[in-house]
Amino acid sequence: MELNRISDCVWEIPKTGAMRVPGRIYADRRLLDIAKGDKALDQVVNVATLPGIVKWSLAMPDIHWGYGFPIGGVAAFDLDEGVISPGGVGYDINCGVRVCKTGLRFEELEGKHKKLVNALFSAVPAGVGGDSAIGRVSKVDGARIVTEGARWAVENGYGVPSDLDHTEDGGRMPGADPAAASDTAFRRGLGQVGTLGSGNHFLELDRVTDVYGPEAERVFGLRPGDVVLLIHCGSRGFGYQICDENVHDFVKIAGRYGIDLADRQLACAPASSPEGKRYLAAMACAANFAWVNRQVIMTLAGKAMTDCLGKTVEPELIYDVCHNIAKIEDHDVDGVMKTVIVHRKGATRAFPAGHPLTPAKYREVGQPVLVPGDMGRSSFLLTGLPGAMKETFGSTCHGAGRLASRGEMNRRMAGVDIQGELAALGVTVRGKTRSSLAEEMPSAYKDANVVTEVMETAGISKRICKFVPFAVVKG
Amino acid sequence: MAPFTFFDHTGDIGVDLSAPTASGLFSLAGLALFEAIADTSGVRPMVVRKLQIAADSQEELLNRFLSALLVIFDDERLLLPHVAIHEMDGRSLRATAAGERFDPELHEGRTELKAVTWHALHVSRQNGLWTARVVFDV
Repeated sequence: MELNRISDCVWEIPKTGAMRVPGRIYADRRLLDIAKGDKALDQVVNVATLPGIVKWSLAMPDIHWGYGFPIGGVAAFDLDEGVISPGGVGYDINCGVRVCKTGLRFEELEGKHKKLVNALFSAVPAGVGGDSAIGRVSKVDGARIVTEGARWAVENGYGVPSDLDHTEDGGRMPGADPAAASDTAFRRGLGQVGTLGSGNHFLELDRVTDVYGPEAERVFGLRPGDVVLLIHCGSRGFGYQICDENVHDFVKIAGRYGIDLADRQLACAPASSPEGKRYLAAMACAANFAWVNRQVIMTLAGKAMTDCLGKTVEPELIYDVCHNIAKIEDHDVDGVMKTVIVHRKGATRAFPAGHPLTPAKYREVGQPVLVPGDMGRSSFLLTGLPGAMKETFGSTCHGAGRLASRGEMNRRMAGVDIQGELAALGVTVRGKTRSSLAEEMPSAYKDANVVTEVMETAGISKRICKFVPFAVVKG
Repeated sequence: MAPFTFFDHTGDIGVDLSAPTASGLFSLAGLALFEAIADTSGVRPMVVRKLQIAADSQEELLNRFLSALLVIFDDERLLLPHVAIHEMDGRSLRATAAGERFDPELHEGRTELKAVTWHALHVSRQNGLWTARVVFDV
């Protein structure tokens, strides 16, 4: 595949064949070589063929092979002439991350890591078949959850009103219509509110090890040695079902709208069509479900830490981001402001300082962005930079990006003392199964330090703090 | 060739299946789905669920069939690896799936599946052998 160098960390796939726009990849040479190792770049090309795409089909440096869209993909489509693609959002709608201050200092937890991990593991259901700690919610509450989002959680004792100010979209995506979500989606989801799931979802305590400027303390109140709580999960079976049903329906109707699909998983419909609008209304329901899920987990984790330590721990939400979502936003397209649907599949919104959609508390520095790395090395708090609005539809990376498959990790870790290896890194970990830990070992991922550095060099996002995990729960 | 083999797909799991008959292939696919979720070797056929699926193609039929089994697991926590296809043509099937409720004390959980994807999905018959490939989102 032909790749033209735009800068040290931006590469362009020229427009050829059925591509409507060029592709652009954010990567240094090493990350680019990794991306060439699977079919992720072919997927960037396939996305570029979809109707109504504007400017570029983008890939962030954590790109890896997904289906349809690559993971780490960003694409914006004209609202009137473009498409909406459920696969371009992903099955786990509004999978995302939140980071909370705990008021704890790392040094005061010496000798208590194992006890804390066990307390968190017991309090927050995780893994296969984990039943909700708050019980199966009623259909009435289900309809409120998917309509009101995080506000439902706060009204029911899960968190405080200021949490809403510190959540993307205030924890409630507008346009949600429960009638657009099937009974099956509700059946899958109602018993899963407040559950972590499995795969790469996690709950962990990290310590702040590095700060990269005075705003870390002045704006975010974070100093080296502070302990933060990170939560990574999404909309559970409710969102999976909405994606599944809409991909299935859109595969069938693409031809009716004259859409030629390079891959069935790219199934899409005009955003202005009845089907497109219905998916957007259902997707908003799932986004709201996910915010409730993370809000409930945060509360369960706070209670578990309080009981474990014998002192009150009330997690204070710094920010909560989505990284599997489609958003209707205004962006500059070739000098003209246009309303577009930005698909971020494994990518995070990163609006710069002064953007009106950034909460007042953070407006002077830009929207907070959370980039979880792996359970042995580091995660980062970032903020958006002006380059994001010029180049990436206000988007940046979402994680470190997977390097090795799950099967490969299970083979590599056969016979290895996983807990011992992580203990050597200062990490106490508990997972539902041995394989769930093996598959998530640090070597399965790229280095989040390198990935976030690329986006900083490109002028897209800037690192504020580095977090290093010490107590980890995996599904 | 083993009746089914899991293969690597970066963050997810794929499975290749083969069987002498289409109904055998679909039964195996059901078993493979539950084997990805948990070790089903000790799962007894205590409860039965009936399934009736219609589709426009054999591939869609397999996708819808497996998706229906996955919904049952998420909704009722039932592992149903004992799958019998009673009637089947290229566009519809009638089946029963038997098993028991997932109990983490009795059954080793493996991974949660989010969905049965369309990625690389195929069903075909060559030289008298039915084969299929399915990728599950993890």
